Amino acid sequence: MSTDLILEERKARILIKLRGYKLVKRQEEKDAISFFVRAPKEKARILLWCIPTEGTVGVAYVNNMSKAMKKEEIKRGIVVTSGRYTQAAKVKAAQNKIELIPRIFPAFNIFDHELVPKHEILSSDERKKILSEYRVQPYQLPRIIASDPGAKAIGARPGDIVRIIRDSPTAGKYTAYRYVVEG
Amino acid sequence: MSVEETVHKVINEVFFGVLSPQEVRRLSVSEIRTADTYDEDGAPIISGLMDGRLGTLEPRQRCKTCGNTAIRCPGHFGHIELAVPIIHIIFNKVINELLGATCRSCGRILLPTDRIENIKSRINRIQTMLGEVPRSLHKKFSREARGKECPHCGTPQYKVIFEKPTKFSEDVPEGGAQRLTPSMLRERLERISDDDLVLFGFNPENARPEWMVLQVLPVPPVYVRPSITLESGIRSEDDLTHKLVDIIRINQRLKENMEAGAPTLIIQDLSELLQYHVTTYFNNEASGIPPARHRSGRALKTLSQRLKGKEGRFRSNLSGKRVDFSARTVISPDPNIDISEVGVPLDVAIRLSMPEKVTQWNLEKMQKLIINGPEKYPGALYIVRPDGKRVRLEFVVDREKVAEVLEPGFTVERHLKDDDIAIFNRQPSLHRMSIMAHYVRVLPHKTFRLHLCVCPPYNADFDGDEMNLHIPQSEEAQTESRLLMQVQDQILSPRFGGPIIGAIRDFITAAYLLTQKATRLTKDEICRLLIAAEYDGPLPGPDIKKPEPLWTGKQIFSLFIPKDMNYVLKATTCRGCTNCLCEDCPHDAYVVIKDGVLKCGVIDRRSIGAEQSESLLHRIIKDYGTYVGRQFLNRTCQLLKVFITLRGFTYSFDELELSSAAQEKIKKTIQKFENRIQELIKSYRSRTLQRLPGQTMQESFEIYVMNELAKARDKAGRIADEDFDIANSGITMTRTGARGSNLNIGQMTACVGQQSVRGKRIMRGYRERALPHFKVGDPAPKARGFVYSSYRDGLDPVEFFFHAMGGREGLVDTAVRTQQSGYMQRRLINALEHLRIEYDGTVRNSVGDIIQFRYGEDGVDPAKSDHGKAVNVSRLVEQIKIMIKKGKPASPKFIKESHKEVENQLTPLLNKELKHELSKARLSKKGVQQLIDLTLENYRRALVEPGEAVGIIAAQSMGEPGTQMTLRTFHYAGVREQNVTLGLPRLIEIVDARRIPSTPIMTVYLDKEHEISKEKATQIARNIICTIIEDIAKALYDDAENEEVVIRLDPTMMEDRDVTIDDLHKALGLLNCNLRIKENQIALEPKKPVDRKKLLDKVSNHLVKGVPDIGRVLVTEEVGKWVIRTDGSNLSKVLEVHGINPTRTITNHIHEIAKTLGIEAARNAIINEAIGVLEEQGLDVDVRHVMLVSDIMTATGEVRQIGRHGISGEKTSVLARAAFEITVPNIVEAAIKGESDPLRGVTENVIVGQSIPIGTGLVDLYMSTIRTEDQKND
Repeated sequence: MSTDLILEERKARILIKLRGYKLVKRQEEKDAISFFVRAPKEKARILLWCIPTEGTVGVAYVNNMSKAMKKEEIKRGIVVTSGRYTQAAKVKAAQNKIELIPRIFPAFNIFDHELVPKHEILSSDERKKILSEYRVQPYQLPRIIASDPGAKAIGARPGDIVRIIRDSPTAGKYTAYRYVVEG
Repeated sequence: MSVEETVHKVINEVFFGVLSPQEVRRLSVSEIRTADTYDEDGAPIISGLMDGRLGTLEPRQRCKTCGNTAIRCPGHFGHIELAVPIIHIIFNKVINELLGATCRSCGRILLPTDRIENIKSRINRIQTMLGEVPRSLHKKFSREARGKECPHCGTPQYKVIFEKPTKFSEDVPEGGAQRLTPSMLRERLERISDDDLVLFGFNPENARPEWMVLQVLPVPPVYVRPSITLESGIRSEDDLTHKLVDIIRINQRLKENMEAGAPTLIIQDLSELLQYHVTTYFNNEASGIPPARHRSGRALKTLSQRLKGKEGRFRSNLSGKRVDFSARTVISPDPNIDISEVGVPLDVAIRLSMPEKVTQWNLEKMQKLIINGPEKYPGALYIVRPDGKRVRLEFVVDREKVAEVLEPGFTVERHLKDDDIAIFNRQPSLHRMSIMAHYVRVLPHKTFRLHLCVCPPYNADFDGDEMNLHIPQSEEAQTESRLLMQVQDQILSPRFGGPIIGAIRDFITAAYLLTQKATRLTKDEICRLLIAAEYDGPLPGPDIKKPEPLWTGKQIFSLFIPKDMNYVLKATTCRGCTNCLCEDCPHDAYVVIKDGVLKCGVIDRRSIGAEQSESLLHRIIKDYGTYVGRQFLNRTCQLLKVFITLRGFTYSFDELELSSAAQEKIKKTIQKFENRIQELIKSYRSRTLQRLPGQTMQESFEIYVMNELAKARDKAGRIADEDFDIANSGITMTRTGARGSNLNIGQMTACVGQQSVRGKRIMRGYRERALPHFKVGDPAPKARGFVYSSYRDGLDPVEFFFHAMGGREGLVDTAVRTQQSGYMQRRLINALEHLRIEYDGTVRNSVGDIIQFRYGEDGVDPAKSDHGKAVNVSRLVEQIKIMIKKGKPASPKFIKESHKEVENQLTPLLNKELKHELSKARLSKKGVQQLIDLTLENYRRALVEPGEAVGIIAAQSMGEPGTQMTLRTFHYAGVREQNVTLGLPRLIEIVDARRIPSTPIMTVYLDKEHEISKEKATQIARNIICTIIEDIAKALYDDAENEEVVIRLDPTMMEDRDVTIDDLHKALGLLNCNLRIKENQIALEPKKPVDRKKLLDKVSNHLVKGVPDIGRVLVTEEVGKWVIRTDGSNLSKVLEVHGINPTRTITNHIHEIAKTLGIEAARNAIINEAIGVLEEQGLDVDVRHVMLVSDIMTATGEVRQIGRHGISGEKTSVLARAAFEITVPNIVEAAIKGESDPLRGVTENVIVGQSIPIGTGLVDLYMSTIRTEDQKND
């Protein structure tokens, strides 16, 4: 990837790549770059706004975005920025199904980092298999919070189960599971 | 004979709640009205505090309520009817919270209806998602419920002012603060509906809030507060009784006054007094009130104080169980007994007993014991008849008669005899090897005797140590002791998978002396040795036949090595030559054992020592089993003991004397270093000394000097060491690893070296000098604690004084660190105790939450592993090569296919290793098959067993080395420019999950372009280091005249930090000021009038360039690549810097990693950090233990600490939480929520006295309720 892209766009592109979204259209707007992407399985389009600022991101952005989403009839939105979100923006975003990616989300593929093992979301079949194999309720598994960078990167939402494939010093490879919870 | 079975009830659950007044009255047997206890005759007063109906203390009296005697009566509660309602102090905060969040008139929660619905559905959702609702959520809702007006009835709300401990008032807009009396509070609390209470996390059935304002006070039974009769015959009452007397007295007075219609002022005063007494009755340490005192001035110990703390009910009485059948005395060494034996003094053996069933085969023997009685050994103490009646033989006059009626079915409790099983323990019991089962050996004299080889696991020495002995009584306990706790089964430590028991001290010296090349023994000598070692077999042929047959020590030692043993290792004496000559080693340090014969090399610590992994001893135990291992150790120790007594070994004063040449050399060396220091002093005085980065001139000077002095001491020590040869006893001991170090030798013979306090040279004492003998500010070595003399020569007075200072610090340090590591261990144990392996191989806690899907990620028990490895494949190959005759090597296809069959049963790592070995070893078909089979078998055998208490083992394995760290406190003042917290403090920091580590540090790796050259790396470093205006300003001042803030720049600093005026312009642009830039001067004129003092501060801390929080940077080279190390940490920002390699850059700040890279990265970081600390201290701890700790810390998705605010505080069990810390608040919390304790963990079951559900305690009988196929057909 070329390095002359701005930080926020790099973040956005990494996110798109990690979540396996398909980029439909890139469009530069007044104070944002908007990406129209398509999720791999769900057919719905997602609007991703990339706001290049280090200041605060207020409700105005969220409002503008939900307007834009309505215009394009898009249900879900994502905001990527290096700025800080205001409380009001967070509340509004939650109402309008807009996901706010935290400002510290790294601008490189975090799964390339030597400390971070690979994460992937379980399909419902796999999920059933795991739960019956260990005879547990999902909440009895170890947990990962939804705002965790690893969970964010793959777009895991509360209720999902994430499979983690670790490099193990004792076994070579090891598979763990974590249940995604709110937070 | 059948084992007696007794039916006993099992407690399933313990329930917590708040008592309602009705309940208190219902439980009460009597209202207590009289403040007195006994009348003149000493009889309890009716309806007084010692009323007979509350139970009785006198041994032969019967309880007036239940008719039982003191032993069987459970005690009965009474009650006091309080004249006015009284606030229960322990609930005051809860009451305050409720008052603030509910309407003052209708009692509804101050939230609109739709929000309530919203919250309810949220609670439900979380309940189904998480299985429980976290406490913090309820707290959040009650904090949200605030408002000026009730959304339900529209009443305006006033602010409730709460003054600790029990005063509530309301801030009425017109009338100011108005007092809320307890009765008003009670009314308001009554109005809160059950539905709303659920939102606060209450369980309204068990805890109505109005019950927190007391109307009746329960009076505990007399057993809770027994009175004691002093020798003088005066009765002394319990603290609680005293307090109850106060309460009743005031209560009666208040009642009388109210009936008499006394003025409100008096009533109010009395109410407040009553409130005080009731408050102190519950908690005498409540903040804001003076504690109630005894006449003597001692503060009373009331209810809260009884439960709390180390001496409280929970930790002292409920968790601490007391036992019979135990003994304690001083220990002393005995090399003549077996390592699995314990010498028990006769006096102990005749007082402890072992029950033995009488059968027709041992009848006569038992009769003899009975006739001998309790005083004559071997005798017996009691007879237990089949109906359970016990006969105490001490009181039997005619024992022969009793012996006659003895018949099978009786049990005789006889004296201890040889080979009985006993449990032996030394405190502190830091790991499971601190309690082991030994076989009794009854011996004369008064001390317990133990074999020297078992000293390391107990950490025992014989300077007056005492140990405890327990005799397990039931068949079950004895069997478990034999099967699980025997010494021989504990030789391999679960901490690192190697032997923790092994030869020590003189055994090692003896082994060296025996096996060294020069040793030749006569027939007479070897016979004595072999007899002592119980050798039973043919003598080997002598090494030298004429003139006299002589044997080598190696020959003798070889007789005890298993016959088919093959092994090669390097001894401790190995000097680590770069070019190893192997068999021709000049120091004979290359040990080769072939077919059970010691071909070459000396036996020393590396071969048979304790705590040596992969040693000869370790191999014997792993390959031939624990029994052979034990015999090997026993026999060799006997042999070595006799050998060293025959030969003699002493370290005399003469042996400390250096040759005059060496003395001269040392003198010269020290002089040389002295000169260097003089130069340093000179350049320091002339200020030309090169400053170290981030240090002041003074600090740099100290570092340089200390470095030189340390070198001087080392050099002197080395000269001394080289001057002696191995025949010198001191050198023999240090080289073989028997005792002592080179440092010790050096200090004794050459130079003691620098004494330090707090890691620095000694400078405290007088003003700028340590002692008045020196000039002010004298920086010479002598003046700051360098000891030139050796211990042999003796220290001069000044040196002696400095030495004492250093010595004192060492002592203090040890004391402090022992405490710290003890507390760390307690927390680790408490957090991990309830983890166990389930039958499906997962690690779960007591309620079944999964912590690890497979223990240690490969399911291998470290105690059964081979120094951490599941299977030692290369060793297997060696063994197979010897066992199986060489044949045609198997085809690669065959290898591949046979390997494939087992591939899914092994771990990926083992598969890889197996594949590698198979391809390398060129085995025949049979050999390949055998290797694969053996690998699989060994892997299966190394797996953990279900029920294993892996949590406790992990906690012990991390905690026990913690205490070792305290003893190894010599960290030499390192000269690395970076200062990192290491050792115990760092380990504590990691398990504490501290928000900010005491020394945050980052290691920044660079990308391909920048890592190759120093210049480019420095460029990046300049972009990372945090530069604020202050760093580049020569001066910064407030120009009042022009209403400006002026920065005068320092061009050299700007260059150093690579800051240009443009950068400054850009950075200062954000401040909302007009900038005027002159040469090296910037004036800031605020656009709007502001406080310039504040602006000045703001400007001085304004970020110009770099990453915030990064204090210092160091560009260092590591394996040919440049890396940047920083002081201070800011991972997320550094990752965004251009030119770094984000995939490797790390920090030691765990929380930061969790935030920026996620919980999985944090898990790995914890493991790496903890292992790093342990390794740096030279402590061997298996990764699996650290992994488990890390896994439980990160199990909830957030990094939790090991302690009350983390794992221990979130345990399901109320009792376990209460027993750990913050006892009382935990119980209160449980009562409000109506929690119940499912009693499935460890501490809870210890508290209620049931067997713990871990290990053998886990085994239970289950019965299927589903019919099987056969039954269906019926």
